[in-house]
Amino acid sequence: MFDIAYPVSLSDLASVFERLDQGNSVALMPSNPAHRPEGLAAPPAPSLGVCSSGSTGIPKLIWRRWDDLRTGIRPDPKLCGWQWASPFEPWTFAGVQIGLQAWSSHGHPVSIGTDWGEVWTRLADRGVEALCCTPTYADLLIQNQPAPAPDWTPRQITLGGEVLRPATGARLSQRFPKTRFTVIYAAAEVGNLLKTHRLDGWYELESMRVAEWRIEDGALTVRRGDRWHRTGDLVERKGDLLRVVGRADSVANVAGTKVSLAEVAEMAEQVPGVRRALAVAEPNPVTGQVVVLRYALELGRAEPAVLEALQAHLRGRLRKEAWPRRWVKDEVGLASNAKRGG
Amino acid sequence: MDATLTLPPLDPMIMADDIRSSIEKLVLTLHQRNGGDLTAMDWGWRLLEPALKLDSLDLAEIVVAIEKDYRVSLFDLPQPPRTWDEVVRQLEEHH
Repeated sequence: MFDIAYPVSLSDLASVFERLDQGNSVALMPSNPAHRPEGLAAPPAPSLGVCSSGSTGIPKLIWRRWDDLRTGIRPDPKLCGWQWASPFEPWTFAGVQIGLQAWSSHGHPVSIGTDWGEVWTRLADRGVEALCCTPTYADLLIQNQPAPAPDWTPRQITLGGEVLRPATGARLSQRFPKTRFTVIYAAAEVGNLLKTHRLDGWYELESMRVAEWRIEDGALTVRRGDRWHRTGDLVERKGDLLRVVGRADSVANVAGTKVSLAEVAEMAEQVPGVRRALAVAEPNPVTGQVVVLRYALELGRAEPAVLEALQAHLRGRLRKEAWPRRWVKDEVGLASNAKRGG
Repeated sequence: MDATLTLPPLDPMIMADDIRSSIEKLVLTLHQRNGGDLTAMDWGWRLLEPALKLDSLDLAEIVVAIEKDYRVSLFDLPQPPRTWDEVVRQLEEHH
């Protein structure tokens, strides 16, 4: 048996954690029925069920033992009473991690959205100490900073949920030079895996939280308990460092050749003037699929010059199958759970 | 804003001669990008005529531009075009 909770904001999680502490299992569900997983199985011990879109996009409930979740958070007296702002939904693994961190250090989680003016006001007026979000969310936040710049400098920014591109990391550290950054790589099925203070997308392998892992077909596979889990994330190793390149299933098939869409987008973001980029596959009657690049410009940059540089950069470095065949200037915004979307 | 800016823009309001002129510009842009030096094309040439120095990837890009500007999917027609002349004729007919 287990209870079901429908938290609306991160602050609703405190009562859930208390029920878990009393030995009950609780499944967290979004209030929108369309986003709820089906076929709920009973958990083995006091556990918390969190919703994940998984690799298929179909919602599923993942049970995490309450003991494991609690021991994963180390109470730190320095964090006592902090306010933790985050756009992550409270029924997701990322949202629970923030709620748990706040709860265990007698702090307060603060749910924030994408009304940027309102978000800046809340962060500054409340003097929020920590921000936990995706790199894209943080990037959009500084991009939509009101003028004059609000007097707010968080003590901590924790980034996770998607790949951190070096250009984004550089912008964030430039805007918040006195803030401590932590970048976390986690998967709902296995929890936190890697942690770093670097902002170039690489993680030190010594931070790996599982004893055994391997790279299979370019994707990271880790062992938790008796089971091996495929993360579905493409990784690259360089000595004692590891970085996540993108999703293994984020691939276009162009004339029979597989093209990593993450690689195309990452390369596009190397071009000065390109703030963010997203590569997607589009059906094409000649080659099956072609790559389409959606890109957002830095403020004040002239489109023709940037587009010319972008095309020259990608055509000079990518094999021909990977060249974008359609270029769409757009805003690359946020999808569900404040992750990068189209 | 959606723009296939690699290719000269095609104006859907233009007349038949202009369709021909735009398609020629479009094909020659890719031909020259591939190192070719043609300044005019033979309309009887097949879509992947070797003299044009186009491969299927270039043709895919041309199809993307045509679909975007004319809203005609040439390869979904009952009889897909085999030559560039047939491309122009079908665009005139279906646009």
